[in-house]
Amino acid sequence: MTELFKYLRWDAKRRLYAARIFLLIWFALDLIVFALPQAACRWITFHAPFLTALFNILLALAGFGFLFYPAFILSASWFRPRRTMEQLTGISTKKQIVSGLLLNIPSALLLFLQSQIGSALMQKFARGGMSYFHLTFSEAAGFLPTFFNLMVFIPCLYLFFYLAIGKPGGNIPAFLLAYIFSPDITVLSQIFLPASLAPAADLVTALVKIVLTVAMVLGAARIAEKRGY
Amino acid sequence: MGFDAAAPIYIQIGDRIREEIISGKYPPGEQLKSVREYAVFYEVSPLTMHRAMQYLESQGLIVTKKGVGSFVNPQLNPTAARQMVKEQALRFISRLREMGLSAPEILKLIQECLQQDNPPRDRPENEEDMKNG
Amino acid sequence: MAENRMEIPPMETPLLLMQKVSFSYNKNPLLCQIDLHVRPGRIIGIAGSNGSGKSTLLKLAGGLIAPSEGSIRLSPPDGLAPVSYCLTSEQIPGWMNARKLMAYYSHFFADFDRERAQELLDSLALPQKRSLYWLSSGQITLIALSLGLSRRAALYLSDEPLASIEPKLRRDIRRFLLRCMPEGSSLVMVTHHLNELQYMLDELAILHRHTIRQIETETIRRKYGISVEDYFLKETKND
Repeated sequence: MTELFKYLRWDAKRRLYAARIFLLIWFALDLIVFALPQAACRWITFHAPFLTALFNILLALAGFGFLFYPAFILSASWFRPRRTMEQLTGISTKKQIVSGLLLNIPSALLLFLQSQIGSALMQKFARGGMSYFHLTFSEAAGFLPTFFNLMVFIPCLYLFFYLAIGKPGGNIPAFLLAYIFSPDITVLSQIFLPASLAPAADLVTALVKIVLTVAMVLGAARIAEKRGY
Repeated sequence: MGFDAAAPIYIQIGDRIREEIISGKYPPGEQLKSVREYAVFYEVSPLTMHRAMQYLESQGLIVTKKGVGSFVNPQLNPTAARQMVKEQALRFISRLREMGLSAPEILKLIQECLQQDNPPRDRPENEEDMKNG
Repeated sequence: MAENRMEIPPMETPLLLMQKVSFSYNKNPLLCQIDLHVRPGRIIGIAGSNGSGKSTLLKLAGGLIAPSEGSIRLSPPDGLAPVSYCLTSEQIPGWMNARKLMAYYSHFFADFDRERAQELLDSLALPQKRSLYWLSSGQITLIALSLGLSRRAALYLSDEPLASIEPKLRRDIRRFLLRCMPEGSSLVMVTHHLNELQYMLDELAILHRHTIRQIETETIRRKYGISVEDYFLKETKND
């Protein structure tokens, strides 16, 4: 456990440093938009709408990145040749994968936060009936289950399918399969539910997904290790 | 540091240090540089340097005290030193003979060199150059 | 090649003993039944043509990757780490600097001597806070070696420390290695620069056609009367 935490601290620092330019740019953009006086915003809206469009696109990417990020960044981290500095620490592939999955969560949170902040700032450019990209969660779904589903469960499914396909370029099919299967698992977990447990259906689904996640993480780690990733 | 590629390195280094000892650069009792310092200076492995020290010790030129260092043998016999110089001279003469010089020619050559070579005698490059061809 | 196979004197326990080690990459065999032993206090060079698996061999010795078969045994004396693999300039991200690298070493390795590392870095007079991105590969190599050699280990591994470095700095690195190697520890270097290193190497291991041949450099000189590089070229001639 301590070994994992030790590695996590290093991994987090490393990822933060690798992404620092990207983060600084976003931070700077946010500040600029925040500081722009209303008059300037109006001017831009009328005379340079491509700027707002550009910012809007970037925001959308950040928002979608929030959805796609775990899938693609996760794969990029593991299936590129293992970095020597990580190998040198002697940590097992399994712990590396777990560390990466855990760190994807704050990364995704950051992206989500950016998309929220960005779209809030974009209201400064709103006029008339125009609305901007704004990712919200329906009250019924709730933040935590949706977040877990998107950030942890689907990436694990993706990882599982990617390893199962085993060929390079299996990214897209694996990702599609993950998205298709996720609701199926929800359904499957409730098919054999006796009527008495019906009120706890959501809980059962959640438990099933958590168990599957753990199993997939460990399984993925073992397969990756065997294949010499 | 240029070495003869075909002969054992530790002997070549040992001989160089021996010359320094005989020439008086390291008088009897004086402490030599450490194995590591020599290794860095000559750019050879520490093992080679250890062997060179052992070689010198086997010839009675130095004494090694474990943990302290190596010292020029305080009881170094001046005649023994001179004997080694004589061995060097013999070797030099046989080289000249191999090059086809007769005894009178050798003598004349050395006299010329001595005239060219001004004392003090810490300019042995000429003779060395000739020795090494 | 009986004359080339070295016998291990029974008294000396080798620091590293690799026996019948094989390694394949993506089902392509790279190393087949490799034997390698490293005794204490030795400097060993590993030479071979590009792609012969030298770097892989070093990583196997350092425990960074596992062999597909065979055994690798490290027997350090008490109190020393078995092995310290020194990073190369390509293996360290450009945004790191000497300070951060030192933090990495302190963080992960209990055998790391921070004071010694600081001493070495200070003696080199290299910018310690500047990102490696702005430094030359020679400077990065010196930093990486300073840190790698500051781990208290029995065996040090270095992958081509002289590669892509200007001649003057190569000499500095050679001397740096000789100066900073602890007494009794061994150094294994992958290298192309056999001429420059030939007097520094006690033994040469030639990787050729997936196998290895290990020979003392003194034996090369005594038996064949040729330089270490000439011997290497002779042994790998039919490539």
